[in-house]
Formats: sequence, structure tokens, C-alpha cells
Amino acid sequence: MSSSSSSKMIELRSSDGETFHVEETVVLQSETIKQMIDDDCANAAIPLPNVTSMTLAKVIEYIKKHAEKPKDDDDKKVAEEDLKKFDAEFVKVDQESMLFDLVRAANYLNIKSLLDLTCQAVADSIKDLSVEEVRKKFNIQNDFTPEEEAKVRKENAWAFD
Amino acid sequence: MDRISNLPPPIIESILCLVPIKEAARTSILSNEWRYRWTKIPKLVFKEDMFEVHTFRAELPIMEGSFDELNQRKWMTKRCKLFYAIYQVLLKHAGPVHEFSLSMGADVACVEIDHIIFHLLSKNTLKKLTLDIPWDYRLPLSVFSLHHLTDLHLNSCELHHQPPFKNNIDYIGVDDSTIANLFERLPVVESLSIYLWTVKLFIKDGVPRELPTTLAHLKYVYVDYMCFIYKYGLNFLALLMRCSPNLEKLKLQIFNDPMDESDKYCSYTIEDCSDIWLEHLNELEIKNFSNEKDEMDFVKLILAKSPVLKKVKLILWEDVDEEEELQITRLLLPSPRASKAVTIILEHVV
Repeated sequence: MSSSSSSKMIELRSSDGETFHVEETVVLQSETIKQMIDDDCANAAIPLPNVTSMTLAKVIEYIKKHAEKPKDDDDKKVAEEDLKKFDAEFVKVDQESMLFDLVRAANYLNIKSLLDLTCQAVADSIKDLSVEEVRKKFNIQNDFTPEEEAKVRKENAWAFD
Repeated sequence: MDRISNLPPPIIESILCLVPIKEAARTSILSNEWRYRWTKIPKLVFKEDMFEVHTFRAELPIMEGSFDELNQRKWMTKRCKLFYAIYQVLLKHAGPVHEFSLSMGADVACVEIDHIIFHLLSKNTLKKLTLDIPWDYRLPLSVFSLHHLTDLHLNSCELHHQPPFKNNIDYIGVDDSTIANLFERLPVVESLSIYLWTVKLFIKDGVPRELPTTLAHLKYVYVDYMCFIYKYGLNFLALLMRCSPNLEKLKLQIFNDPMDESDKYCSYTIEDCSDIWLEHLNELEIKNFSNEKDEMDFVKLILAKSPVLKKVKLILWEDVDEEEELQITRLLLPSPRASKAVTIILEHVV
């Protein structure tokens, strides 16, 4: 039948109805899907109602890259460097909304390394911004009255030093 | 709804843990929804350098000629700001604290730090404690009662037995039982990093051969300023190895210069370690390795006693030349090994 290098394929269906075929060994990085496979619920396409096809394609790109296994120790070092570069590029997304979609998808699919990576990217994007800049960036509506805001600022005065 | 606010709350908390705590607290004025979000983060990291202290022009003429005094005053201001911030955060905090980290300079009796530790103790949720306090701060005994700790990182704090109800902060002789106490009361520690000289403060007459308890959870040990010629070097390591049946990784940084001449001459020899067996050890790393006999013997011991050892990484002392490097290889290669799959890597400091 097939060569030993290929493994069973799993079918994933995004919220907008697109299907993706991914090797089982790759998709096992998602604890959520692993659980489904263990529970024998993965015989038909797995529906992922919370993940759009655009996000799912990105997630698959990530887990495929992270499933590559280095051959030996020398290779391992090169591969680690390569993976670091890949991760850094991966979170440089054109639209900020994509980053949040990835955070949500990583959380839902329970892929810890992707969740850590994307949360770090969000944290890095707000580091060193003023409160006003953060509000603007994330479109957060300031619903404090000026008096209330002054009060909260006073409450946490040490942080605004 | 905005993009960040509708993330699940635990995710927002983990993002807030990744920015400095000051910035996390500033999110309180984003909106009503954000006002108390930062108070639920489980990881609290404080550094003395978080606070800038400015010198006011008006102060300069008064302090003229006395830079020391000026520096002292600046330092005190910085310290007050830091403790004020920590107290504010702890008073406001709502939820479990899993990780607490503090780096600052402190003196022997810094009651503020004692209070903080005592407070964390009453919450009883702490898993990871890091104290990087480069002066002589003496850790209160209560730290031994943090029962959920899995990670403990002590950078040069001193551990002392201080009898309660005595107004005496003199150095109290510490007996054998203290070292046992430390581990007995930290039963779930998985990772321990410690400066070797900290160990001295546990010990009066010597290191006990064994502990009354087994450190069943301990998997990772890092001993900094390891010194084999130091009186309490090898025997402390031996004690740890003997009592940690699940140890997986051992890391040492060598510093071959005991602080005190009288602490030299370790009477404990490698032969005294012959009963040790490291069932689960898979990695040994030694930094500043040279071809000193004690160090070579220790590596040989580990090779002979670790059946699942995979990797021995020796990062060589900068003075080790090529010839000595060859000699190390020649001596280690034929050394008997309990594990068939071990790789020995020699590296130079870059």
C-alpha cells in the first residue's frame, strides 16, 4: 500500500465549509483533535465551527513546520534556528485581526506552543504603548467619565509613575 | 465588540503576564471592563529597576560633596517605591498567585520581604518562587512551609534558622537538621537552582549522608559556583543525588575558588559516592570545566552510574587549550559507561 513515511490522513472542516487534509502525525499537535482521535470521533471530517478557512490554513502551515524532525544533532541546531526564524515571520501578519484569530484558534485547538507564540506577539505589540495608543489599536471604548478615570489612575498611581 | 476584549479571560490574563507588571496595571484605565482584569494575573514579577528615581536640581547644592549620601538616598527612594508597589499589588490581587519573582538588593533583616513571603504563604497557591537578592538577606524559616512549590530559585539569599521571640539577629549556628528541613518542607519541588555558598549556611559540622525524606519530584538541579575543593561541594551534590531518585538533569557551573580558605580541603572523595545510582539522569552539563582531577572523576562517576544518560556537555574553562582538550577526550572516552547511548560534547565558551 503506502510507504512507511506517509501516515493516515485526517480531514478537517473549517467554519466556512472548506475541507483540509492533514497527516495524523501532524495534527496530533492539537490536544483537542488528539482527544477526538483517541475517542474514535475522527472517522469523518472533523468540524471546527470556531475556525475560519483562512485561520485554519495558517494553523496547518504552523503545525506542518513544527512537525519536521531533524535527522541528527547537527541538523537539530540548524532546524532550531530555522524554526525560530519561521516563528518570528509567522506572527508578522498583515492584519491584526488575524493574530487574534490565531490566538483563539490555538486556544480552541489546544496547541500550546502556538498559543504561547501568539500571546507573546500580542504582548509585544502593546509593550511600550500609551494607554491611549492601546485603546486606539484595539478599538477599546473608554467608558469612564474623566472623574472615574482620574480615580482609577490614582488607585494605581504606582504604575503610572 | 473590540478584538482583544472578547478573548477568553484566561488568555487575556496570560497576555498580561507577558508584559511588565507596571504596564499590566496600566490597562486598568482602558475601560470599566479592564479595570480589574490585571488583578487576576497569576504571575507577579518585580525588579528594583522598575522605578526610576530622579535627582532634583534643588537637592544638588545640599548634597554637594557627598555622592554616597545622595546615592544612598536615591536607593532608599527606589526601595520604598518598589515595596509600595508590591504591597499595592498584593492588596488588590484577586485570585491565586502561582509565580512570584523579586530581584533587588536588601540587607540582613529586610522585614518587608519577610512580610511578602508570609503573605504568599497565607495564600498558599505559590508554585514558583524566585528571589534574586544579591546581598545578605536572610530568608525567614516560613519559606519552608510553601507546600505547593515546584520551582525554587534562590540567588544568594541566606537561609537561617532564627529562633522566634528573640530580638537577636546574630548569626545562629545552623545544625544538620536544617538542610533536611528545607527539603522535607518542600516536598514537591521539581526544579532547584542554588548557589553553592548558600549551602554553607545550612551546615555546622557537615553535610548529612542522607535525608529522612526522598525528593521524589526533583527532576532538575542546577548548582552555581560549584567547587569540588570546597568542603561542602561534592558531599552536597552526593546528598542531592542520593535522595533524588527521579533526577533527570544536573547542571553545574564551576568556580574553583572557595570564598574562605578554611573551607578548602574536602575530605569527601569520589569513592564515598560509589553507592549512588542515577536511574533517570539523562543529561549532565558542566560549565567552566577543566581537566582538574576532581572534575574528571565526577564526570566518570556520572558516566558509570547513569544507565539512561544521553548527553554530557562540558563547556570548557577559557584557559583550557587544545592539548588539554585532547587529554580530556582521551581520559573520558575509555571510561566505563552504564548507558550505551551517551554523547559527550566538549564546547568552548563563545
